[in-house]
Amino acid sequence: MSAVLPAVADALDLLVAAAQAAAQIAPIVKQAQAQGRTTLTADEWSQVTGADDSAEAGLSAAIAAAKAKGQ
Amino acid sequence: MQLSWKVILAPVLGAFFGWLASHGIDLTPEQQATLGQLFIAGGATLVTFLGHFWHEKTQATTGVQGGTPKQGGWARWGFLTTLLVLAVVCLVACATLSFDEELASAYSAHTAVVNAATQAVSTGTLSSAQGQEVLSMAKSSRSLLDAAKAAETAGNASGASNELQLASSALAALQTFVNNQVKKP
Repeated sequence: MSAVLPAVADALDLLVAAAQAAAQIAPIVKQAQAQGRTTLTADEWSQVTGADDSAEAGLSAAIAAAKAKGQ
Repeated sequence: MQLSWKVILAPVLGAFFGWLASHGIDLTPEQQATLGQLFIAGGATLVTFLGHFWHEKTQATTGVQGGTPKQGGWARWGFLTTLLVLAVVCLVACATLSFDEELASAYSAHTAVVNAATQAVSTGTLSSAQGQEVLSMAKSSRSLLDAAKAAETAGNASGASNELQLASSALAALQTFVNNQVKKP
């Protein structure tokens, strides 16, 4: 049982990270809907694409760190 | 390992928010997002445990030894569940949204897959080489998303729709690729 706990923690970390990204868009869409808009503003698009840019930068950094560890 | 507080807090908060919702009390978007995360995390935890016990039973029957927790198949159930849930959420969400909202959801799904891959590389579930392949595919699908957005901005609705369909296909391929990479011992 002790061996499974780290994996559950890893799975939860993955899920939280993924769910946070998925939930990030919700406030933006809700705000647009509340204002009766079906399109997003330039600023809202900037938030969406900026989050994606940050994610890609994070993956690049993780890959570099893994390489440094020889993984 | 940051496990204890999550395991204890998740059902407590989930029960609390569920009680609020069942009594007709409106939840803020943040609370709804938290509730959604807890449901997802709880489901994945359950699947992970079931996968673990199934794996142990298989080992006992066949005598085949699995790898370490991070290398063994059962450890990946949560990750695969994440991607499955994301795919379902995207399908459901995109069925009722405007084009902008649909495109934004596709960006968000893309971000989620990249973040999940980042976690997988950080924890050793994916190797750096596998991560590099995921990154390359992610950049391709991101290009298609950007093309869809550019077409829409230019007033080319048909082209934007086509690009978004291509991007969705690329995103699905990316998710499949990540799944297959994670399944490899």
